[in-house]
Amino acid sequence: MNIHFKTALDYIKRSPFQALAAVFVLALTFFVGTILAVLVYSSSNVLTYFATRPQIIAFLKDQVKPEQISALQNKLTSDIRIKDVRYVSKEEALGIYKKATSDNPLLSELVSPTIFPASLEFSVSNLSYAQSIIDEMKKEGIVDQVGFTASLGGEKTLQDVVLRLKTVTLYLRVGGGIFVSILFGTSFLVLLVIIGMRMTTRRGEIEILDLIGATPSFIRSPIVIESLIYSLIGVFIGWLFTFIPFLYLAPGIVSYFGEIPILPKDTIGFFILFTAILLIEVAIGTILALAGSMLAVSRARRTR
Amino acid sequence: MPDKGQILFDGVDITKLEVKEIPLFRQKIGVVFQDFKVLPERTVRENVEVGLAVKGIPQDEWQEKVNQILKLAGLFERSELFPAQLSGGELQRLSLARALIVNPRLILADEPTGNLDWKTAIEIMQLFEKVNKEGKTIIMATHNQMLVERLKKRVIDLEKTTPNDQKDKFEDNTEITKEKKEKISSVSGLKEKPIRDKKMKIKIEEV
Repeated sequence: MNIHFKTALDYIKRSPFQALAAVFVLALTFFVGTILAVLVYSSSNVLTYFATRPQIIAFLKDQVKPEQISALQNKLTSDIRIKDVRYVSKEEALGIYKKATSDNPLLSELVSPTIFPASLEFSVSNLSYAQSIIDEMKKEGIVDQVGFTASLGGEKTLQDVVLRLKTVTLYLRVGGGIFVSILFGTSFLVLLVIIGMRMTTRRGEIEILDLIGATPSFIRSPIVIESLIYSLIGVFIGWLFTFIPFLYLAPGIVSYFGEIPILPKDTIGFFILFTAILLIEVAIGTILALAGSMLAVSRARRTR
Repeated sequence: MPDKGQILFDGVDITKLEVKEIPLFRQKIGVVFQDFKVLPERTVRENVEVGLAVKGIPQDEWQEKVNQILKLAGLFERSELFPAQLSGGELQRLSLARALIVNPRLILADEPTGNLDWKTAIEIMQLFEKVNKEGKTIIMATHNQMLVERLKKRVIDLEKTTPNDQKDKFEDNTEITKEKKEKISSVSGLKEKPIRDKKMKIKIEEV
């Protein structure tokens, strides 16, 4: 075993309560951090879902030729603000109507395909584009009317919902960010204190190593490794304590929210999400440990 | 640091070394301290291994080297003990073993018998002589006049922190004449300059 790693493990064994304190604080930080990361992911997805959910329906005039429809459809498809362009013929429109009124067959018997206009339906990639696209569509010669629909009850309601979601997401990100920052600050200070204490208790050993020709990096290595051990164990515990409950709750959450992609619906996507969070947290934990230990070591050297 | 003069090692004036060069210089010499300065929370073996680790010797080469040095120092049977379980003499032998493990060109011994009883001090000196006979140069500082007389080695006498007399003697205590001194220099490669006007210049080449 590497001598620095062994030395770091020896330090941990010699003062297990300091080690536990450091690991617990870091685990708590990364536990909350992981939950916040999942919430940010979910809220972002929900926001995108609702923001892109509304469909604009351009009802076409009756005497429009297929090539004119095709030209407009191509134009819409090539527009980066627009996605999921779909042509709905009169027959298909009737089918949709019949399906919607299936509980009352009398209503569907009274209509024929001729009364339903054909239409081009599409979504916008961002809700803010909706109004300008609607205005542009109204100017198209083959378009009779433009409708802005959404399952939540129309443009106004939808905008309200999206606005509210944006506000909630903002609060979540800012509030969560501040909370996690405070926790990170606390973890950093705990690491500083523990490493500082370690430097004090090791002073004699450091002096001896100095006398026999140890370089500063040799002296520093076990301290940095010890700090990394605390941090990475903290990261893993914090992440695991979030991952396991989500692993069990995910199927229920996904089925409860239905189409709203609050969590990845497939297992691979779910694992990719949590692996990405873990990797980011490992990177943050490493930076935290390196910064904390370096600062503690440099402070201790200054006071020698 | 000297008030005046130079301390040359391998042609380099060590009083002018930059801070970052000091560890590399220290790795070239072995130091034995009066208060042993062993690492109390490491075993005898680990204390010796630290010397190798500091010098960056690959770990797979450690065992053989450490065993060899521990046998030389008479500590092989006690290699898994901690310093607290050792006697004063054993601690000093451990300190010497750690100094020797990096195969230094020079060993500086700062009052290595200062904390030891007479019998143990003799044992340590016997070990030093053994190491010296194997070709290592040892510069030892001591207050123990009896030990100096017993060793019959070259002596630089310091009084009030400045050298006031130089007593170069052979093992039979006879003074070294100028001719003999030149002969010694040509044999050992050790060139030594007389001390004048309270200045000291120690030059070590081809040790």
